[in-house]
Amino acid sequence: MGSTIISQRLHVGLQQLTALAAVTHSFLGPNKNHKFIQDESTGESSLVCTCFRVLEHLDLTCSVGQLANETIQAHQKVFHSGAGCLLFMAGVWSRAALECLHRGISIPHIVSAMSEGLDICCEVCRSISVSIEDVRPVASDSGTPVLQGSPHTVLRNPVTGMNSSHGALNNKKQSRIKLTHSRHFCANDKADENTTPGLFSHAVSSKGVDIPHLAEAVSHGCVAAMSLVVEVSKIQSKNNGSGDSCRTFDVNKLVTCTLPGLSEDHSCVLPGCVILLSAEQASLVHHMKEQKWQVVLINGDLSEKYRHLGFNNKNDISQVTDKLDLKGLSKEDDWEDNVLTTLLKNNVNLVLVNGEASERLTQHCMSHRILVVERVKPDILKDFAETTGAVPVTYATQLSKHCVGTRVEISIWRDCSGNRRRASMAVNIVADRTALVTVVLTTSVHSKLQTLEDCFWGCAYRLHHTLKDRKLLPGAGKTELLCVQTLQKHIKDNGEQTPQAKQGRAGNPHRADVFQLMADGWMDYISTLMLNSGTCSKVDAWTTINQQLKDFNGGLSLDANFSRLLLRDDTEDGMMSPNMKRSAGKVYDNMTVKFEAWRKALDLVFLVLQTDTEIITGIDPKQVEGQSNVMVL
Amino acid sequence: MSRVTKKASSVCTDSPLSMSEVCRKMTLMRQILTSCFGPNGRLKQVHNNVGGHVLTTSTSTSLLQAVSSSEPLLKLITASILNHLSRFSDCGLYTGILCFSLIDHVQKSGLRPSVAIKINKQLLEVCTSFLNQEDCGCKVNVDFNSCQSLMTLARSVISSKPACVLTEGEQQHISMLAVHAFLLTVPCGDTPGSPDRVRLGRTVTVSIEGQFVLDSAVFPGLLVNVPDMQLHPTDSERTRRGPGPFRLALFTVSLSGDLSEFGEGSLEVHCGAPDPEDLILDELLKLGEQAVTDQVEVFMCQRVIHPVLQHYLWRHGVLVVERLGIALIQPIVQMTGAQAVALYQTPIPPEAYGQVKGCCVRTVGSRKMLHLLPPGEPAPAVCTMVLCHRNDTMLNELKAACQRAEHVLRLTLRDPVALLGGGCTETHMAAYINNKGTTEAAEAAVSLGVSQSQYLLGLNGFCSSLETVALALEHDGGTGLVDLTYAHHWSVPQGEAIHSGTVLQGEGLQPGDGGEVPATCGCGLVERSGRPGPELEWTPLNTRYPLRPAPLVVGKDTTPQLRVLDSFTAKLNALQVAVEMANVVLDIRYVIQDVN
Repeated sequence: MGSTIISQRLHVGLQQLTALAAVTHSFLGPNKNHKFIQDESTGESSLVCTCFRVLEHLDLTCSVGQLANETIQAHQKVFHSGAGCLLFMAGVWSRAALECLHRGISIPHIVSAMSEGLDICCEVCRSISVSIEDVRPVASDSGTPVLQGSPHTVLRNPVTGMNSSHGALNNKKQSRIKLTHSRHFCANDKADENTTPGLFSHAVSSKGVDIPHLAEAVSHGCVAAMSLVVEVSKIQSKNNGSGDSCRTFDVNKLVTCTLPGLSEDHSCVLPGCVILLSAEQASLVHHMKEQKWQVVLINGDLSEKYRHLGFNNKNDISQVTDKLDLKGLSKEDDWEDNVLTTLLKNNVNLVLVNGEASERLTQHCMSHRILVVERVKPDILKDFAETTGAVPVTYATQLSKHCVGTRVEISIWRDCSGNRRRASMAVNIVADRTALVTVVLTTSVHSKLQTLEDCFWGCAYRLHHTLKDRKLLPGAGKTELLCVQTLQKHIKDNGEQTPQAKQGRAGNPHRADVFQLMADGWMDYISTLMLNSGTCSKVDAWTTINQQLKDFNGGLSLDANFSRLLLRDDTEDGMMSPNMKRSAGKVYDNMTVKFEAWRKALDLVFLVLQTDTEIITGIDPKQVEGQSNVMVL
Repeated sequence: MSRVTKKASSVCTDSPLSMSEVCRKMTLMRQILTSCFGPNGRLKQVHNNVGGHVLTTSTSTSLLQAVSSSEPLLKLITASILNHLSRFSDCGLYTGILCFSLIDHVQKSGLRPSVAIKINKQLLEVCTSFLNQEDCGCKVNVDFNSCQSLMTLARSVISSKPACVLTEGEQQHISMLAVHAFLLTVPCGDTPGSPDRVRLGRTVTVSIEGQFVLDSAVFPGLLVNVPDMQLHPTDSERTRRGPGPFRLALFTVSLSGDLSEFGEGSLEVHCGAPDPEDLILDELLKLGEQAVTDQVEVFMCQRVIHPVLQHYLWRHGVLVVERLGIALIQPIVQMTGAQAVALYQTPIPPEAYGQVKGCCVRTVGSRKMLHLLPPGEPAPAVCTMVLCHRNDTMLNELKAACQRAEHVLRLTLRDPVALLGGGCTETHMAAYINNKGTTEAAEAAVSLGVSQSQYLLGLNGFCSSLETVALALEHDGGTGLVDLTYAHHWSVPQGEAIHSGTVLQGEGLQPGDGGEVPATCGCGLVERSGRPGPELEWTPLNTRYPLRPAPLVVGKDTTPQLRVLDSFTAKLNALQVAVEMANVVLDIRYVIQDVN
């Protein structure tokens, strides 16, 4: 078998990347349009509204698609947000790179100018980032922000808008002081992270910040999901001993449970975990109310046949006997008796199993008032191990006194039996002092479950990153606008340089061209955002942005009007709640996530841009004979 | 039903190099390798067209392993390059480009292969003896008193692969890590028992996708992957406990308690007799008991450990790590002095225990890992390099580059010299042998039994091939120049040479008007201005301008600002492999293929 070479002097890859990114343009901004993906061959279809789900469902045959998918999934795995921004920017910047090539700019020049442009912009964005202590309802006396230094975006809050002008100034001073403290705090945090002595995940500390307010600032239109996140923070703070106030948020102590069938307003947040049980099992729970019980944790299946991972089961072991077995006891019966005795001896009332549990044993246990719950998520088991003192074991026969955890409460939460489905009850299991919180997501439209869950996790991680960075970037396109402005300023300064300086070896002769095209990419982002918000057409958007830029260069700062415009709700059905309208001026984005998304988008463009040849291996040379632009090696 | 088909007779190709198909394939391969070369090289996407993994690379090792050809001659060349790479890691593309170029030049020159082979052999000898000369102009000493040249070597390797997609700061950071890791693996003092020998440690690479490049780090000792569930609550106490050393036991045999090692066949168990599984478990628990009484504190296994045994050990405060994988066994043995035990039926011999100074849990990126600290001297140093990058493609390329850098640094221990990079060694060497060959052409021709014109033709081809390698660094329509004083390589980007209009074919550029010529040569040793001596003149590469290169005298007290350095050992071998391989291919008269 030989290899086939496709030479790509035409840079098809960049075009493919642009085309792929265009698929997800409608996901940008708070008003997301769902997409319906249908598989012609199987007839399966799914409803998606996030970029990474689209790529997951697409059959990506081209190598660029696979590369993009790999990058997006890796980003999603680490950050859980910002994938849409990544793919969008990859798309517009690959178009920019293609345009550069058409203008005859060499690849090293494109690469160096683009990465320089991104570095410059990240630096500027970092300097205008807002400390999370400053993202609070701040009143300002006149509506025009008084600006010195960092927070360019002091916004008017309609609620507390006119309260007191003096208060506002005081507030600001205080927050400045806090800022310096917070930097030190950040440094310590980072040092800690490197050598975690303990094993337990730690909540992101959030002293002195207003979590509900921050959550609103990064909700990006997902108000319902974000209010669930705030609720989580409330419960976690309560468990943490912080009382009723929202002081802490730990995304690692959070699980979701999806319940189709109920309407969306039934979504709620509960401490501990929520598990669906059959009606029969649930009847047992009725007797278990309002008491503390003992728990054991099984890491694996609860059955006689189960062996731990890595155990090669030998099938050909046969039992030989010289006398008739009259009792008729099978090995399984023996095992069951053994397990039941162990459980009873240790006063166990609740068995949480990671895998599946033998049905017969479950029945037996029930008659002894022991509840066996199967298919419990590993995260939940881990939390129970930490909070109840139970030691997870692989085999039930291994159990001894020290493996038993204590002080677990169990209660019926809700009857979820639908009309046709198997009767089921949602049960709430809570360990004492647990930080674990379950978010129950409900919807009457089954196909929306995935979307709801993604949306919720997006919100949870946005808040998580906010607290981790302790910094936010102005959202709703303002950061991008600043990038455009920064690049344009550099283009202007570059033009004013002396010819000698321009000729310098270090200088890149095409820097200005590349910067302009790169800035256009960001312009495209903002205008798409405006288009998706339903406020104006793309052309109007460009006009507005250019006007803004002019004002900006004229010394005015980015004002709230711009972002209001972005989010103004002109759609007739009024997709936006009044709450969203109010918060329109106070949208913020995560700093680290955004920077990483931009960087990764550029990585993707660079990888594709620098590729000149596609090599297909393992192909019979006869197959490709006669095809143009294909060569056989 | 089997069918007997008539065996096809073998296909014999006479003088394969004269076949257009073979030539086309060789040209294609040469283009692929040439376009990958250097920091501005182009990447290749390799995949199998059925949804398999897409490899994006410009690294010769990855590329040549993935790409296969049906042409026997190409297979031969590929195999020899890969063989060179397995020994030296570096200069794979160099070998390929030079080899193909030599073959090409001989074919174009019309020399008979036998004549060309003789001349190539002689010129190779001239090259090697030139490179081995004490005062060779393209060689610099690696100074171990400072990190400068080591850093330059490492950075040259890492920056030569654009698919790593690193910013300048990131390149610096990774190069520093590579040098740090290298220095950690050089043991202090002698190896006990053999004072004249030094046993180098090793670096284990852990790669983490999706994290910041600047989070990459080097740790002395080993980082072992432990799944979250496996870190038992008691382990945290263990890891926090005071200073060691701790005793460690290491097993390579599976302790999962299954019967797989008894091989195939069925087993008959008498009813009432104990279950064989239980018997094995008893055996395993006995082992655990011994470990506890022998005060083993870290118990590790390459494969699976039975959960009951794990539980028992945890109960007695032993830290248990299973599923280490085969790759980690050798480093652990080397670091801790333990002997890997391949049997659990007998007690552990006391000499099999190793030692670690301590352990702690480290969070690296998103992963929790157990850090085993090396015991003090004299154990050879083992270290772990954690590499982070934004996506898998770039991470793989970075990993390969780092391993190459480590190898290149190690080679400096044997030969503490490095060659000038950036194409300068090639142009300088070409100028040297061109000069020497031309002046001594008569004698050389006589001793080889060829005519003088043949010799000069061969010499010209050889020099051009060397310069072709330097030219291969250019990918964007730029030109390569060589200065007439030191014969270093100067690369001029596209579009720049046009506006001055002073590049004269065959004639040197006039001094002072070289506005388009960069401030320094490829390696950074020669500066255009601010340099004592006469002004520089340039000529385009491959114009055969007679020049006698003067070796640049490097002041002992002033450290030259070298930008690029190449491995001496690797390049010397690459040169030999390339010339010898070209000679072998030129020498091939028939290719006989079995087509069945």
